[in-house]
Amino acid sequence: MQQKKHGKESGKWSPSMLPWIIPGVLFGLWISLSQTGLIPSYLLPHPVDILKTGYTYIFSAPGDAPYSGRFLGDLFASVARVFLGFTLAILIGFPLGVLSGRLALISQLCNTFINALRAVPGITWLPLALVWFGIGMKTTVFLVSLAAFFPIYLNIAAGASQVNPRLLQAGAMMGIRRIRGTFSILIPGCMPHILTGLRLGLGISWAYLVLGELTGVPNGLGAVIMDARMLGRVDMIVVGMMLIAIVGKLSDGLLVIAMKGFFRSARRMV
Amino acid sequence: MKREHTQQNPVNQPGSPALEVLHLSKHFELGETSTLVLDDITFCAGAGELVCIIGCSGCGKTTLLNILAGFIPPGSGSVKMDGNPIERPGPERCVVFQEDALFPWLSVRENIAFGLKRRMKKKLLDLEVERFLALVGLNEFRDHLPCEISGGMKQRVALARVLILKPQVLLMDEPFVSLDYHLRKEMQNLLVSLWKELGQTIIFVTHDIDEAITLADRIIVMDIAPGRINQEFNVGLPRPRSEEQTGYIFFRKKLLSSYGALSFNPDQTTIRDNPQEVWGGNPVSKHCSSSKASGRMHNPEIICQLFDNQDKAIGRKRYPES
Ligand SMILES: Nc1ncnc2c1ncn2[C@@H]1O[C@H](COP(=O)(O)OP(=O)(O)OP(=O)(O)O)[C@@H](O)[C@H]1O
Ligand SMILES: [Mg+2]
Repeated sequence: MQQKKHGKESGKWSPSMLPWIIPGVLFGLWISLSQTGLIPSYLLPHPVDILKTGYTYIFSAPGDAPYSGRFLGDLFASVARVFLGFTLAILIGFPLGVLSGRLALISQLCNTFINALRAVPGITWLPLALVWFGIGMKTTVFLVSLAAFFPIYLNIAAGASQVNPRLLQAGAMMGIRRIRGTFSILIPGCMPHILTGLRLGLGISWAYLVLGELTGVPNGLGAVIMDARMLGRVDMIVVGMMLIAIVGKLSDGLLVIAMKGFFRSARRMV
Repeated sequence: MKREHTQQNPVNQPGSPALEVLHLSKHFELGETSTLVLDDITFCAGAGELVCIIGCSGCGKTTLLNILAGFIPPGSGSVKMDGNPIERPGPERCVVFQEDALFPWLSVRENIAFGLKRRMKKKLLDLEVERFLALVGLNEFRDHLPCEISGGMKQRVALARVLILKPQVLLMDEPFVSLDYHLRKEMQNLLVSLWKELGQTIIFVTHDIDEAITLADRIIVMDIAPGRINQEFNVGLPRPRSEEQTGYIFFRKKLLSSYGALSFNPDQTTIRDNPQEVWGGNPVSKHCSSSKASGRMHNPEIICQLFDNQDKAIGRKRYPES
């Protein structure tokens, strides 16, 4: 009986379809709302217009239309900023997280300060960052790495402190010393936490990327959105938002694939 | 890198103490309260001796092994290996944990190879791992992850990954509990044959009286909390042991009544008040008893006559008036 039910379920809803249901329904609602004409297009453009704008932005030659031909440059600028900021956050957050998860001294030293810092909304750093770094790359990278640092640090610290002590003892009794134990037991042992921290960090990187790019840098996906707002191009704003959603999702997938490629523990435990 | 084992047949040599526990006590602090878990434990294990520790749940057996392994410091008293204080864990003292402590991201084969990795040529290591996989009967499961094998299989992997290191001292915490009867017998035989070959000192914690009699040179019975040593028995039966042996039932009865009195009749204090009387044993001296010499008789009749002298009971009362 149960088996039958299971078979029916997997037959009708193949798992690969499921993620598309909600976007599909929303898209359908959007189309039907636009068709009725109840909502003026300067508030929410028709999906077809959005698709056209998006096509122009991505595929048309430069100079054909406003925004045409800019996509690759914007994408590259944004990805580079996210990459730099996120890497910086890992370089600081990862070792500090591991240390503070294992050493009471470090966690007592850092945790209060880091949690207080965390309570400061990221956006309030913007004016200060502008004063320090000026408009452009440096400010954005600073904001991205600051924002991505917290989830990375907190998750890895939690993971490192919760790793099964028996595993570390097992290593010690087999003659594995501290340094090797860190790499061959501790880090694999908290791999699920590490991956969660990195994914959350990368996700928030994209949010702060846009914040950093809203300040008037010439290129980048966030810059395009800001530019479109000033010109009243709502369709372009929506295109920018969608592209960030897609690129963000893709980068998350790439991160997971890369981690699973590099780490046996990520392959086997997550 | 194989460790040389100088003792060819350690079973027949009265060994000098490999492990020495003197007046060991251990408190655990939990908030305001401090509970005494181990209370003045003194015993020795001779080199190459197989000592079983039995005692009820919560009497501190795991804590004792943790201290012997060097995972936690002794409270007061001393623990020594070959005369040197035990301060930290090391590959000469390996533990088979009571709970699952395999590395979940490593396959069965990789778990077994873990301790020898980078200490041995890859080819030699592979051969050695093969051998131990076969010994514990897990050849088919070599590439499974710990989450994909049963509890009993995990215990066998845990056993193999320390046996492969050929430690001088093996600390085993109820390693065979989740095995079925036949497999358990098989593992016991495996342990004994490896032990005969390699001559490790083994401290084997178990709840199972039969297991203790089957394996042990000497059985230490621990009191309920706070953990103390209540009695020691020398099991002088020849190996391989079986339940049909003349002496076997005798030991079983003795252990059952002493262990049973501890676990099942907490109010029946008369037995425990004077164990000397009941067992006709001598108080265990606080020195190391050279218990091994007498334990190697191969004539059951003589053994039976000797039993009463061999048994050693602590003359201390269970509930001292203080
Ligand atoms: N880290 C700890 N902190 C506080 N109390 C502890 C700690 N470890 C053990 N204890 C206490 O010590 C006592 C003995 O525990 P232990 O694990 O040594 O028992 P055990 O004899 O191994 O029992 P079992 O046969 O059930 O495994 C228990 O009462 C337990 O509550
Ligand atoms: Mg225990």
